[in-house]
Amino acid sequence: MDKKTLIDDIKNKLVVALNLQGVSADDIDENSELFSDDGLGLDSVDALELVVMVEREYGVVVDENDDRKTTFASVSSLADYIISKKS
Amino acid sequence: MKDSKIQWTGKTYGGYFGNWCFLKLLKFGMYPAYLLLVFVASYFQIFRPTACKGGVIFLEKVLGRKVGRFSFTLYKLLFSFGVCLLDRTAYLIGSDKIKIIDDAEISIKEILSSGKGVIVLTAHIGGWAISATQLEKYGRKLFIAGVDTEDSRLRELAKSVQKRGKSAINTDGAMGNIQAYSILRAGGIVAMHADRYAGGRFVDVEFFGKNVKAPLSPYALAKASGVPIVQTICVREKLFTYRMKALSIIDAEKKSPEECAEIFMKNMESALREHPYQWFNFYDFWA
Repeated sequence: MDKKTLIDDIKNKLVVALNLQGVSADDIDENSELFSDDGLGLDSVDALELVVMVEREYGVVVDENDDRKTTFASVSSLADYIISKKS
Repeated sequence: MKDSKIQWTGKTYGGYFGNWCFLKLLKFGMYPAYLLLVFVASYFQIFRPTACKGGVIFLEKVLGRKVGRFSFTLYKLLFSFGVCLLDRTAYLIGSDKIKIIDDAEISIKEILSSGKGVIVLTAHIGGWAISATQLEKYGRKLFIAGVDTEDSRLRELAKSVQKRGKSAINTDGAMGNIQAYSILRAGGIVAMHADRYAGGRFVDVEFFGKNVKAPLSPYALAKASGVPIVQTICVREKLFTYRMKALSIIDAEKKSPEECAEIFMKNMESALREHPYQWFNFYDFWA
């Protein structure tokens, strides 16, 4: 899967897994911050659902020593992380 | 439910000088510090109505009767709080006078030996700060989640004399939750308080007959990581002696967060009926 396809896939799965009300995959900017009020405004419970989704859908286990701030900054950075873990 | 207003500050009363005085006195033993506390507790009862208000509200709920602002009942709660704080400080700076009997160890060990991680949930009751040090003995990765609003000078003062319980408190919110999840999946221990609502999502749960906001995050974390919760308290049993107890093991995988929070609060209610003078949330818990 190339990065562009992966980004679209993450957006779709994000909306479903986190049950984002009134938000569609197209509304999500791949570079906007996931956990900022200026971005998607996710909270600490969403963070758990997100990490479970990454594990379940992409088979990627997030290690406690991974740089979480960078990895979960945006959909784009999450896609980079998944690609790097898969390669 | 999402965000709501937080009712507490998390700051230590007494300021830098007050805490420094107690630290100096503890060098001469516990009794001189307790003696000063007799007057300090009186001072708070007389001159700090805001600090006392939460105590009165709680005592009236748990005892089921009117509690006066200047009653001995309230004084007992304030003094007991001070004793627990002094004991905690003495223990953390290395005193061997304070003894801890750990009855929760069996439950925690059993879960860890099965290869799973465990969430240890507690509340601001008795020697809660001492109990966290007990979790260091398992040799597992330990993650203590919390909110740190303490005055930086007081934090530095405490650090400068501390010999036990040096595990850092993680205050990293969402990113901290992801780290906690990874640690639990790797068989580690996550400890946190689940009595105070600290912002974010919550569930309404009945506590002493009236609904309170209970944090949702601990139960969501347990469910996501597939680990059980051990609910503990550390109560002061007698002079210089604390007992850490496992109140229950909550299987969050099979229960909703609401059900888990209800169990937690019900257990806490029972424990507080037994130890009403060891509840240390000095704000209106029901506001």
